Amino acid sequence: MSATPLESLVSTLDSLDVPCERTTQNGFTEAIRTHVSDPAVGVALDDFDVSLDGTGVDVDPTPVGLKGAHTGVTPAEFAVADYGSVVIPSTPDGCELVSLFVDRHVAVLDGSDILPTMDAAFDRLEETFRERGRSSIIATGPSATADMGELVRGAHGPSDVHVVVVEGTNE
Amino acid sequence: MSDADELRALMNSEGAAVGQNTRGFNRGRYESVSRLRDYESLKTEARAIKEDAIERLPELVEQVRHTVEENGGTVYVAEDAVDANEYIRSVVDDRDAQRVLKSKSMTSEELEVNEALEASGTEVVETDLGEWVLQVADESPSHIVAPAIHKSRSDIADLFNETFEPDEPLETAEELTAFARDFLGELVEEADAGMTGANFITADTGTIALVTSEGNARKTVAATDTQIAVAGVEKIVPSVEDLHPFVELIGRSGTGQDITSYVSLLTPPVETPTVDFTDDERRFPNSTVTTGSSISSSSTTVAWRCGRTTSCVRRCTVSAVRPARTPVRTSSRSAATPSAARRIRGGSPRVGRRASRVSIPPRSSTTSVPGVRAVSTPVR
Repeated sequence: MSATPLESLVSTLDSLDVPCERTTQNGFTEAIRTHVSDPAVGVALDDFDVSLDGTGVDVDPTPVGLKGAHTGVTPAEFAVADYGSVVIPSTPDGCELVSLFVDRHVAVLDGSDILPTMDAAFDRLEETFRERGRSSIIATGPSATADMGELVRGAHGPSDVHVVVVEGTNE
Repeated sequence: MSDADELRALMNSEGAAVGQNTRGFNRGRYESVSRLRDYESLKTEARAIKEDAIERLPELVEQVRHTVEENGGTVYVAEDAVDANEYIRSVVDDRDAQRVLKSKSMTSEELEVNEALEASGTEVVETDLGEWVLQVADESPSHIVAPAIHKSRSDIADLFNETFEPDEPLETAEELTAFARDFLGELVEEADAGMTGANFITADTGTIALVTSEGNARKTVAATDTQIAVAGVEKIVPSVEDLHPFVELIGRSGTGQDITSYVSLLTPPVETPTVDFTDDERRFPNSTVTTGSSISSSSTTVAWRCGRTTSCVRRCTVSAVRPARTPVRTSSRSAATPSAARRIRGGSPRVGRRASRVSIPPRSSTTSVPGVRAVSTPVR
């Protein structure tokens, strides 16, 4: 029996040293707390029917608040299982900023939004880009550089990435 | 000094760093490609896409112009480097930009756009860490994917310690990276315009694809309200789905990674708000400024099917200085011999092309990065 996209994603993220936690809407608040270090900023997760209330995450940060944050929590549009990638949308509420100008990015993903392959990912991107002129980042693991003579995790972007999968959102 | 002597000197001073870094890339590439089931069919597909695009390039250029303009941006097809630089300067002047951030772009290196902008008083900051090392050292890139491949960790530590005189001398790659990130971070936050290259531009949507790992290209775009993407016309592909085979191949061939950390797919105007990083009052959505873009396309590049991953350069006996496994000074302005390097750089190999305008005050060192764990295995 071949692995489901979710199982495959969990396994790929493990090989990338990216912690991944599966949770439900009911368990979300407790789950997210373990992945967040203060000070934390975030983008509201309305599409997931979950809330960052009570997690200590500021979902309406100022630019100075963003600059000082350790953790940034954002939704991911979808994930690509065999690469361990999460797709981060460019949005007016600042997903790009909150996922980039922090030490740790926590990507929150709907369990039904996991595509098995890059081929399937581009089928989806093609549709949204052609219809709505979107911008997105395919992000895989932390930012990294080998320019200083050795591989270093954490260059301009986050040095640490976590993924939280919310399952059963359509039930 | 004769060419041969100069080659020997280069091999002595830089051969070890180039050899070590190149072999690392190659090992990664072989391992990464062996994990890819449909490697051959992806290559065939990628080649067919490029051939098709080149076949009908004039039509695609017009389509890109139409799409980007419909989105609110502009496309300028430059006649030559002078023309391209004049256009870029006019965009920068229109924005009244005092500081321009750059992410790595070999087309912009060929244009020598930094010099053109600096000549009229604009500060240009390279944000790719390899490029920044070279900007500090006042040198040119030696490699199109890893511009400072000829510099070892200790070379860079010496350079930073001499230039910036940190309280505690910098030594490890982690310390050097943290120092560079902090130093550049402040410059990023106060920049006015961003210049990127483009690995690909899609004609159907006007999307600019950037393949990176450090996050500096993302910041170059996100921290400024004007993006100038500089690319050869051969970077145009017909559609968004045409990016698929390249996204699976380019990291493997370039740096031996299955995929780089970030593939940015930007269809300006992007929806990310532009923020003032000193603002402690207004929340993001209230400070939105629409980001616009200009694509300046140089039509002078000839190797049009090339994906510019440099996997060929690393084993080529023609473009690389012997021994074949140790290429030296192979760049987009490929210099197979020291005299060629001299001709290309317009002087001795060590005459820098940049009049560096990076302000370099002595700073205290940063010796730890929160959250960084030591990693000794390949990134993925």
